[in-house]
Amino acid sequence: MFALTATAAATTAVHAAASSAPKMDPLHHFQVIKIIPISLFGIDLSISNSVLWMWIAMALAFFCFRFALRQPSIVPGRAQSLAEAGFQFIDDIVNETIGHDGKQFFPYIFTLFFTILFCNLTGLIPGSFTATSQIIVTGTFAMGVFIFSTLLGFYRHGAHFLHFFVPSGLPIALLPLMVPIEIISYLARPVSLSVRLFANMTAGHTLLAVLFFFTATLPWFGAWLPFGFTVIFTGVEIFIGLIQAYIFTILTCVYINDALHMH
Amino acid sequence: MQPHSGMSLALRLGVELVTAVLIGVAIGYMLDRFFASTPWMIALFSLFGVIAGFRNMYRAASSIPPMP
Repeated sequence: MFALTATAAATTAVHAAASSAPKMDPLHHFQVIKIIPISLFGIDLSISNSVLWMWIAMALAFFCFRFALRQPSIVPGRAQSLAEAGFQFIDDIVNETIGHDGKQFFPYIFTLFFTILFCNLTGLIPGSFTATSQIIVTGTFAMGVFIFSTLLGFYRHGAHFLHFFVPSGLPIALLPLMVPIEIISYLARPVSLSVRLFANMTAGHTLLAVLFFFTATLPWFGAWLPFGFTVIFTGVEIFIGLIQAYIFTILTCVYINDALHMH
Repeated sequence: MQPHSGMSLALRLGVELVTAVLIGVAIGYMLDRFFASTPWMIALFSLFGVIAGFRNMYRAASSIPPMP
């Protein structure tokens, strides 16, 4: 995926160089820059722009909720009802997909949703960095979900959880075929979870960068078209950021539900 | 909020198919290196990966409520 976009960028760069126009580099804003290099016991713990913008997103999420709930009242004001709507939204997802015993996972799912949402949305500020466009970030989220749900399954069901990989009502002769397939489809979960979020974010931001480049380089009578598309796609990006956070959350709920109530 | 817009659905199903194949190929490659049985395991497990991919895709598609 990344190699593909990289080669595409290379070819566009070559074309740009051939026509001696300003260089187009739509992947420039994905560059991780070390702001404060820290190295602890040979481990690179530098504060990069990715880390910085993730912190900013987290601080924003925290202070938005602090602000909304600064004077909680029975009859909520505008900010408070927005915060409560977000709360209710996650509560509905948890209740619908996991059921009653899903309440205990609510804080985890709530945090996950708002972390991803605010990372996606702060990435749209010009000059910022989208932390969720790094596959290492989304992969860490997804591995966290995967390891958590697997351990939860073993904790709740013990060795019986291994029956998850054996579809019921299957002839014994088909087992050697079906068990590897089930294991592969289980292992594919964190990969698809992380790649989906990362690919959506990277693709959207690359598209925006290309459109911005066209807007900046075309003469005035041509620039309005890519500019219009830039406006439209920024709106679409906000929508995609919401959708992807929602999909990540709902799939987390589905995986936790699978671990809790094996079918 | 409309969670299942056409584009997100298409991307979701596509990713579902591709990642299972990738996992299958990775497992086959590892097993081949471990047992020194070069083409066989990777061939078998990429096949498994494709089946698992379609299975995941089918599961994801059947979890979607019907269009209004």
